[in-house]
Amino acid sequence: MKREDICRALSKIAWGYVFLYFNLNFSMGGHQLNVLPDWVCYVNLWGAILLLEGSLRDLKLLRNFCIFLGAVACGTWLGAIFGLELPHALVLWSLLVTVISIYFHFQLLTVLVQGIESGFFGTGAVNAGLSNRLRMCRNLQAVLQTATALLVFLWDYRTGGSAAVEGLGGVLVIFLAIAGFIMALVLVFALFKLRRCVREEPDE
Amino acid sequence: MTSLWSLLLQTIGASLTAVVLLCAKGLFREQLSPRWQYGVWGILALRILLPAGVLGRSLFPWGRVALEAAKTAVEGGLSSALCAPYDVTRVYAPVPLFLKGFPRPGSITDVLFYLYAAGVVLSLLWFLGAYLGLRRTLKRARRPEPERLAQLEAVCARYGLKAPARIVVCPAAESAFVCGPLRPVLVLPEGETDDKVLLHELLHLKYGDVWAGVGMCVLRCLHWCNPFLWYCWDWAQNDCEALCDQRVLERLEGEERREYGKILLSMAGDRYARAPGTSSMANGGANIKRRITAIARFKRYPAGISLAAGCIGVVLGVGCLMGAAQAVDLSELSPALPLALAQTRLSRPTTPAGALDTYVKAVLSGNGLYLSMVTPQEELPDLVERLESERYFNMTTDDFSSFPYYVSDYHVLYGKSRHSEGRQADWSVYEFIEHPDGSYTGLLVLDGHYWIKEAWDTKILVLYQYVQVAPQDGGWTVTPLSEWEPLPPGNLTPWDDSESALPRMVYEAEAEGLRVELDYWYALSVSNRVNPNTSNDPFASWFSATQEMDPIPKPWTVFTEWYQGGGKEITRLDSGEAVSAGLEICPLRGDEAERWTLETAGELKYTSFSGNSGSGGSDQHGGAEYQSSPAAIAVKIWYKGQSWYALALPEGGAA
Repeated sequence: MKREDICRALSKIAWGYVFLYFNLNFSMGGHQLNVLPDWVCYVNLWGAILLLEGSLRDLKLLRNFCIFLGAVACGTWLGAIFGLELPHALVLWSLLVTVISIYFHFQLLTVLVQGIESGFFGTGAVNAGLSNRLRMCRNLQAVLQTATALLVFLWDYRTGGSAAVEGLGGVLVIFLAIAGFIMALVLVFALFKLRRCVREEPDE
Repeated sequence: MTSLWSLLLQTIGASLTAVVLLCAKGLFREQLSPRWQYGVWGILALRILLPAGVLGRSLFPWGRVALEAAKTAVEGGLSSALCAPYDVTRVYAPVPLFLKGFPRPGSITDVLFYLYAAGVVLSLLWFLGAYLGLRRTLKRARRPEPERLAQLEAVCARYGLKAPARIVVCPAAESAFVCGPLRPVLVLPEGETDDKVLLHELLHLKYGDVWAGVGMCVLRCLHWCNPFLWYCWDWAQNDCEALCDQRVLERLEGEERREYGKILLSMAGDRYARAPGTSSMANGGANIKRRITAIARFKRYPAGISLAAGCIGVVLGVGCLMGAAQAVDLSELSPALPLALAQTRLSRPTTPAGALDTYVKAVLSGNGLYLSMVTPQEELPDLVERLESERYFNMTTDDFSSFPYYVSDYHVLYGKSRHSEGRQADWSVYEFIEHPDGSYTGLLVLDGHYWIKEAWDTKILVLYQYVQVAPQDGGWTVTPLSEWEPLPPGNLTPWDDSESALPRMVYEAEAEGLRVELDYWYALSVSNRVNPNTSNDPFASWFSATQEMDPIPKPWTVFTEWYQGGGKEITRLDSGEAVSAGLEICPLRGDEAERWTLETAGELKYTSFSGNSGSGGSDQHGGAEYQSSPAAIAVKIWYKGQSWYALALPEGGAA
């Protein structure tokens, strides 16, 4: 596989996570416009999967999940623009989207870790210890996604709760936000570093 | 489950969980291990064992509303003994319960529930009978030859497994199986048995799969009338076998794995004689085909994936078991009356404060559906009859005309624009006393001071009504005890004017020839002022002075604001002459008042009470510390250098 293609795929993945984890919202008359929409992430990841699946076979299993998550993200983004919201009652739908998202990102990073450890991305990536960093991000991401989902499911948006429960919820939200931000930074930097390692890999 | 409707609620909840699990299993069929595929059935088992809606939540809130509406429609024309058309369907236990004994069935729904309960017992007996029959047959089975015992011992030694205490050979058995969870018997067929088949059965024993099978039998019996759940448990039992295959394959190497697949293939034609309390490698042609496909995909799943599998399991488990908040949107009730009534019934107030808030908003907006949320069940049929012709009707008197009427199409509450209209007034409840039967009485006061912009001296500013707030069927109802009465124009609220015409309750006590009359009032209310268009934006409220009354009931709220104050009068009992004495007080709750004795009165914490003063507070999160007026007030009287204790009890007013 050409090194340029691997670099392109890694660029797409890294930029994809930038779009996924960082949001810039503009609010106009009750409508919200996120100029870093999540669906762009999935378009990028889809492109990366197509580029890499020939060499990293397990990525094929993620194709359909990527399309599904991209479509959901696009629908949510359009809904926010037009002021539409998925009914809170659709817990079944939210459940399925959440579990697919957890699996998809976990498995995508697993494949990248396996790629590093097998030497697919070159010796530079192995020596840089990127596999451990990505594995840590992968695990942390799964735990944070789960914790966030539980908080959303368990939190009764309407009635709130006692001061203690609200206080605890608030602390948890802040903790998750800070941990998620740090994890996103580490992940994105690790992915860009992986790209640099591949780019700087000496020709055989 | 106490009626057909609670059975439906429980079995539909379990079926929805099963749908979610089947979807998730379908999505991750190739991605997650057989351990996960089998383990997630635990969520369904827990869902069946937990009463539906136990936490006031539902997996599909709209389904719950539809079921309630259907119940009212069906039961409205019947005279069921086990349920009423307007009660809220609840599941108290995952098994059929007859809390009212065994009343004579009054309707077809009662008959069906009796049939269901009988079915549970009969199916349990059927499974038990089948198991006992099998054990009886095995008693006649012969001991295996020494070579076969040696073969089994070798398999146990090779794989580090424990052999069961009893091993028999049964000519009728088509393949080996384990029978019995407590004293398991390994049953072998006539002829040779492959080591791998023995390994399969020994692994069933090691991992307690027979117990899981017994559990599934019980769950089948609890929902014997739901074929979808039977289908799911068939699937779960197949997943159990597939997991056992996985465990076997993990212990085998190379060619042995292929041979194991061949053995399984040879069993495809065998009959699947499912018996309770057993595990059998041969579980029918169709199932075996699925297991062979799984074997073809066999791989050792990396340890890392277990984190993702666990996270997915936790999200599915919590989501399916807890469900979503019972999110009935009271600002947008269904246009169809039966559904709207079901929505309001599911939103019945869970607190006395919520009941009063709902009642006040029903009165101010003339909304009959809100009124139905706090109307006692026995009065609901009359109200529903009226609602069939009009949803909004006047519940006020001419005196309410002072309170400004508003019509708003731009009200933004809970993130949604809604049309709302009604009169605006603050409300509070005085003398809110708890009674031994658990009900409360109080003086409900509507106060227009904040809202009325015209001159106060010509308008009626305050209206009041005695009300009773009583618990019923897990919610709270409100019953007016008097008509709405106005205070004459110009009268102020009690905390501004100690001579207010508002009726008062007085706490009275007698001690050592003195009478103490405490004009102690304690008012409770709920914060209800919102900024139109900005209530979903907490920061916008800092810059906006315009406020409206929140017209949407808060049936779950507690009292968040309180005001207290009053005056005192101490007189001689014999002459009625006023005396100058010091007074300290300690307001008591109902249980504290019951425990009060003269001997222990000195241990209470008293505060000085000079009278003619007031104070208040607000806590939007935790609510007021006292959610009712004092049931009694412990007093400490200082007179002529001596002190006496007494208990002042409420007199007059709603008390």
